[in-house]
Amino acid sequence: MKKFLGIYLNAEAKTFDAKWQNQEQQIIAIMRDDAFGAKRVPVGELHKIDNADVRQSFEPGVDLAARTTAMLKLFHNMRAALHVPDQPPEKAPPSSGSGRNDAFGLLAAGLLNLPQPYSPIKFGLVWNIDKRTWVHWDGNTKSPIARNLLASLGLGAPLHGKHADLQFEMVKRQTDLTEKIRPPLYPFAIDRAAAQRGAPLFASNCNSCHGGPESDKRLYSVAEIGTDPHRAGMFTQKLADGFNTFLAELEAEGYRPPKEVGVRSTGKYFAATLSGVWARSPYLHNGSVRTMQDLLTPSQQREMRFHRGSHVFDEGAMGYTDEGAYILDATASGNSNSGHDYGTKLSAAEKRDLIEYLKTL
Amino acid sequence: MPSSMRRTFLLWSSASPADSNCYTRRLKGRFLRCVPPRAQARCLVIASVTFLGITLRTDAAVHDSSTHAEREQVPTWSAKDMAFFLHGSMSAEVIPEGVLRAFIKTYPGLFATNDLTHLGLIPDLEFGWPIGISRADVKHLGGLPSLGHQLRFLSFCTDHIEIG
Repeated sequence: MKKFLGIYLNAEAKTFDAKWQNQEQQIIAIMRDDAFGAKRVPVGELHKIDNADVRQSFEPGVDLAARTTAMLKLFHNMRAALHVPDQPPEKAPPSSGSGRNDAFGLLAAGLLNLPQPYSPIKFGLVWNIDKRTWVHWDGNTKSPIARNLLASLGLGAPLHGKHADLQFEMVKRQTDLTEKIRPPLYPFAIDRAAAQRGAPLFASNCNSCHGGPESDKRLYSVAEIGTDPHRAGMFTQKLADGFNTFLAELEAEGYRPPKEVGVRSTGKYFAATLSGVWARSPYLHNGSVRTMQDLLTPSQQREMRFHRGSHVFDEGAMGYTDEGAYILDATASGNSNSGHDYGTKLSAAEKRDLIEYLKTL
Repeated sequence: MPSSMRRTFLLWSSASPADSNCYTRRLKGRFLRCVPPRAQARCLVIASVTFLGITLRTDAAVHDSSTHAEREQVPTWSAKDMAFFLHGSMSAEVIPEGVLRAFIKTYPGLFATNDLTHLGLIPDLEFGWPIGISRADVKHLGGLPSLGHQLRFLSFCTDHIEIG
């Protein structure tokens, strides 16, 4: 706290040290009494903090003990708004790595107090959102604004009982803007002749699931696809009911609860349209397959470990290179790269042609 | 690698909310043991910055706010729309800017850069923090200008790739 406070207050070192020395025992007592700044506020609630108590200035008569108390309250409020407990759990949750998270696990625990098994998923799509009725990997959410409200509240917008402290119009503005995003065009050269050969391969191997109108006909069971079951399985009807109730009872300025149910449980995965698929590596809902080339490889032969974090794109394989700080281990729970064996029996030349065609989407 | 040429593009790939590297259990009447302040601060830093950083992770590099890719993907957006998309608030500011800057100086071992770009975020020198970071005065944080992340959008869906 000493080092942090000195820096935060932009204090001259010697003067600060002298001041700290004078109040050190008092400060230590404060921190021993209430290290998390949580004692005098109901669990999950926020302190009222005066700006004067947390301003970044070091005046001659500054009371460092009072400033320490204020900082502890500030830290508590930071945690509470994020639904982070004052003490970290004994075991940290698994790391999802770049481009992934356990979104609904976080929201279920933070907003509904219903922790779920860890179910990592790749970040979803933001383009062509206006063409979808039900979104997310399992097609569980209908209302875009509800979706974004949940995210706001799960990630820092304070919730006081049923009242949300947020600017609903901003959430709506972001939602409306997102509806206008279109897929990215492949920015590099495409072998057009190969792409032309790949078109019928797409039609016979991919289109029956990934083509056609966006509807519930494109929801497929885990048994059918064979991919990791965690995400499909974690979003139960109980969770769906919980979120629907949450949204129905939520109070926020400018917000009107949806007239119809906007969250459901499908227990399945949605076969998304493949516009911009070139930009969506790694593949499958949990990002467990690094490249399209690997996805077209029989699942038992796919990479079981690869790095994430690269921004170097491998055109031939269609995906990011195997570089970066995070290692995805496909043997870990939630990370299975099994299933989706469609197209894996094509020849090497056919796979190349199919990949070139996919670049045109 | 198929080509020795390296090119960079700003493009939009995907987005999604939150991150799992966050302690999400609520405490209910649990006795709080005393944790040394430094450890507590480290935990708070780790939780806050991990939450900020990992939720915003992209494959990052230099950002050009008027690239061809952007104009193709969002042709109807105005410059204000783009600015809002990149840094606009959704009420999810979680850490006072001054606190974060002080944390960065206090715990240099936790921060390889001064602006969180070591977490894979795309820098935005004009704004002062990477794409996806928002800034707003937050009542429950003492009214201090505070930083947050734009949830499912922004830095998740803002990407930079190079051809290798």
